Amino acid sequence: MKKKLIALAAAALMVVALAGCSSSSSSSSASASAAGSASAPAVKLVKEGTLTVGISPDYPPFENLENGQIVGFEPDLAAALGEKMGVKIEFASLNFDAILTAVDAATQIDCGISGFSIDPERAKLVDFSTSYFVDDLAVATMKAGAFTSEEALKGEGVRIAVQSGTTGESYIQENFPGAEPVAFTNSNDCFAAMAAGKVDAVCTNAAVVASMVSKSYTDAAIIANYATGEEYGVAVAKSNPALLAAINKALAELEADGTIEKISSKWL
Amino acid sequence: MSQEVETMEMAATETPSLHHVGKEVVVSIQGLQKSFGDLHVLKGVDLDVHRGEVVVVLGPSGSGKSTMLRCINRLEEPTGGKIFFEGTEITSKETDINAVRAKLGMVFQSFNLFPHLTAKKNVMLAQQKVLKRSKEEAERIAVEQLTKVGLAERVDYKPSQLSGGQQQRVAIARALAMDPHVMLFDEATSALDPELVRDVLGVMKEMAKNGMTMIVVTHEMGFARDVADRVVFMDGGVIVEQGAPEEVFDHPKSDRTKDFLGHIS
Amino acid sequence: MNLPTTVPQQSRGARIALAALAVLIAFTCTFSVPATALALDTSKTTAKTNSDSGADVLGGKETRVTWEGQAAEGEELSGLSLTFPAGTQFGVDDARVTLLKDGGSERVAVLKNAKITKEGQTIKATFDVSSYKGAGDFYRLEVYEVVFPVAGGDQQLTGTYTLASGQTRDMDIPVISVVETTLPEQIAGAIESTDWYKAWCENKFLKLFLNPALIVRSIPVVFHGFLMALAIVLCAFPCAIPLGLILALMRMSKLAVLRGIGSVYVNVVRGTPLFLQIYVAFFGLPLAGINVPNFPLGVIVLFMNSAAYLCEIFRAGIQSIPKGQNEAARSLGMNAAQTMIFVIIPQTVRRVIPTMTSEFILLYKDTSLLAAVGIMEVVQYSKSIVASTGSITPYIVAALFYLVITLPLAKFVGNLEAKLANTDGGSAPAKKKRANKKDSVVANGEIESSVAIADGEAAMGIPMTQKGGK
Repeated sequence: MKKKLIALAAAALMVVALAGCSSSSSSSSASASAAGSASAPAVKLVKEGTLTVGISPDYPPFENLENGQIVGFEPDLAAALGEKMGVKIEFASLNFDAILTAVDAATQIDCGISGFSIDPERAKLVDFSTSYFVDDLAVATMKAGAFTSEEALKGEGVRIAVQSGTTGESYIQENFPGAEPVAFTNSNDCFAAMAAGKVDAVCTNAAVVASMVSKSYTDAAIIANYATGEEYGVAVAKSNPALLAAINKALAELEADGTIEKISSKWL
Repeated sequence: MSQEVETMEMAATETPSLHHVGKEVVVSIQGLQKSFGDLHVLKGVDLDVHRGEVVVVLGPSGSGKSTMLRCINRLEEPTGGKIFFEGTEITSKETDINAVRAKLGMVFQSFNLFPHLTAKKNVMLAQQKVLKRSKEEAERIAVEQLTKVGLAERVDYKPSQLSGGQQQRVAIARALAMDPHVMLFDEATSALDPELVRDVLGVMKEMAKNGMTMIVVTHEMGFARDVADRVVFMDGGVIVEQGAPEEVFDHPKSDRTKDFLGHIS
Repeated sequence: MNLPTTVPQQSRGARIALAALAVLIAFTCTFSVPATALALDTSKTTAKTNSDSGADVLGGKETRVTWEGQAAEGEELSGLSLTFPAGTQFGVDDARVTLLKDGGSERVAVLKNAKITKEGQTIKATFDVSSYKGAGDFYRLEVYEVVFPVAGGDQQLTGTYTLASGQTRDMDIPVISVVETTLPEQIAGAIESTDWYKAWCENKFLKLFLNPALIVRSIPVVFHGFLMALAIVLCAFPCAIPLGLILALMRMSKLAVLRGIGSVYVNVVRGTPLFLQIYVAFFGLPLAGINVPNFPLGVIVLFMNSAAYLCEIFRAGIQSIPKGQNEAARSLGMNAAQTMIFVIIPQTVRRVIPTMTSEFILLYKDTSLLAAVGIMEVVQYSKSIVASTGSITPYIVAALFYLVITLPLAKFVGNLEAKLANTDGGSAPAKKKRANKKDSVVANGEIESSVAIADGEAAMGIPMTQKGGK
């Protein structure tokens, strides 16, 4: 009984913490109104006239913090979405883990755009829009290290850094049964751990690996690509089908007019 | 009473030391100075204490009497002057002060018993660690000393289970167990309830009778009158007056002494 | 013969499995279809791990089965089928076929036109890749919502592939090892199928924070992390105590050098967030050529951090011992070391036990920061379930695992404080009555205030100094 009460209290605290997180949101570009105010009337938003987007800005080039601004492929996509839908866009910076929960709760944010691959397990919790990007997995190792080929990684006891809760993690578990996946919170830590010799390789989304290897970790190299075909989608609460429809419509328009192509070639 | 008659006769001379003259000087304080920052507490104190003598130091608060006492075993470091103990200059850096302290028993106003140890263990600790006595010997002496101060029944009590008077008697036993050559009492009864003071003073009187050299800082005029060989009155960091108890109490020479005694009684 | 003599670089799956497969294919080649070229060079079938610890494929729980195959040169496939053993369920709605190239490292297209149907235990996919004009030669079929039998065991799937020419051939599939569903998994499954569970989950809050199925599922997983956290803190704390004491003595030393080293250490450690220290140790030290395995390194960082806090606890504790204790011991001829060891420290220990216990609790909670560097402890395990389910419930379970330790300790501290309040202060309890007496006022005030400080700091939840970065 006592524990139950405590658990409830703890839960209440977490709700507050969650609220605290999202209040650190930074609003971003949005030329609202005029454009396409054709959005369906039944769309419910947490904040009227504003689409609040949950994002975890630690995943360059998809989203990252630069000088306090959230920048990257997905912030640009969100801005374009906002323009098409005729709403302002506001970002709520949340932990990756927390975004789907927050989407489901539908009290702090309207949707999550943060490199979510559409996967049936997640789809039980939230709805996903049509895919706006297809990503693959890649494995990188240090050029000077002992693991410069994929074959070398197939041995027993190899340590591979993954981001916790990502598809990279389950890919390693499924396909490298001899390896030990070591979970880190974000891709930077994965690479830092590899540079420090704590792990032998990093496996995460191909675009992220490519960006890391070309910018921050030039002493690392990509040794394998796996075209797992992860489709990125916008996560929307199941209770808000109107919003999902509006987002799908806007995405289709952005796809058709080449906007998505433009944004993706800018960042990826 | 014959002693006291003798004392009165001698009082006329300039030398304050009385019937102990000719006996060995145990503690010799020469030009002792002590400052705490800007506060000049002791401004040149000279005092010789002879073997077997009981010296009672009186004076108002802040007169420096406790500070003087604490300089004798260097709980306070003198800022000037010298102190000799049995011919050794204890103010010198070369002196092993721990060896000297073992021979200088001290009793504090606030008892300072070790609260985590029983009465017996309080008395045993320094015997074992400083005098390197065996556990058995230390225990035997501890029980003996505690019995002497009337606490045979209380050897296994913790300090918190003892009254203030009992605690102070344990503290005295603790000091005596070290076989000190001199005992220093720093307002040993000031923190006690009046009804408990008598027991402690009784123990101190007994020690005096047995010939212990004692330097006693106190407010107990009765004790001074009854037990002291010599009374020293301090004020403003100097010794103002000293002599036999009757002389100082009944015929004080200095106005400051008169003033103090007037206020006290 | 088109037999692969070596395992191609691009292939996935365990090398041994592939070698075995190659042998099987060789057999198939030799005996079943000796006349024609082999249409499939390699293939493999895997199931996604679905245990919460991430290591196994469990029965009775949804997983995804992936078949991948490399078509022989010049061959195109037009159909695939996989037959699951009896008792296995699977879905067709999310199943998809993908055409890739270069051994699967690049995608050509998801075959949207693939027709996927279910016939008994068989999933059938028919498709047409002629429009890609040979751009891809590597095929993937993903089947979702696969639930293997609860009892587990080796699952033998069978399958066929159909060539563009219409020829259908059997393929060989190595067994998939399925582990028997764990008891918690069974209980969770049973809970999930009840009506009251569905009603319970109607309430968003209850579903998010107190999902009963997830509680059951999380407990055994998070328990691993609990053991890890406990092991770390039980190794780190006993090391932190002597170091903390040494630091405290250094900070009170007469030697300026020792005081300097002690205070720099304590101030740097207490003045920087623990997570930063963890990062430096985990990512920085190896770059300096110092490579310590994760577990001991985690222990070292935590104990060195905790020692700085313990130092201040000990220092305050030692300084709270009335000056008279030191004077009494020294007046008996005991030297500084004897005084410290036999008089001051024994009394300090009694006084600091409550504060030390608080520090132990803090240290235990701090183990969660090690999650950032890949040490699997309570938070990291719960996080992995949170990430896959989107429910906060595993964190609640994690909270319970913290409370299991912290609540009894808090109670212990409470009792201890009450006990100490009754017995402590043996230095001069009788004095208070006469505290108004002129000469004793100063001494009294000094002693009592220092005791008050020690007691105040000992109070639960009021650590002496707030730790940074938490």
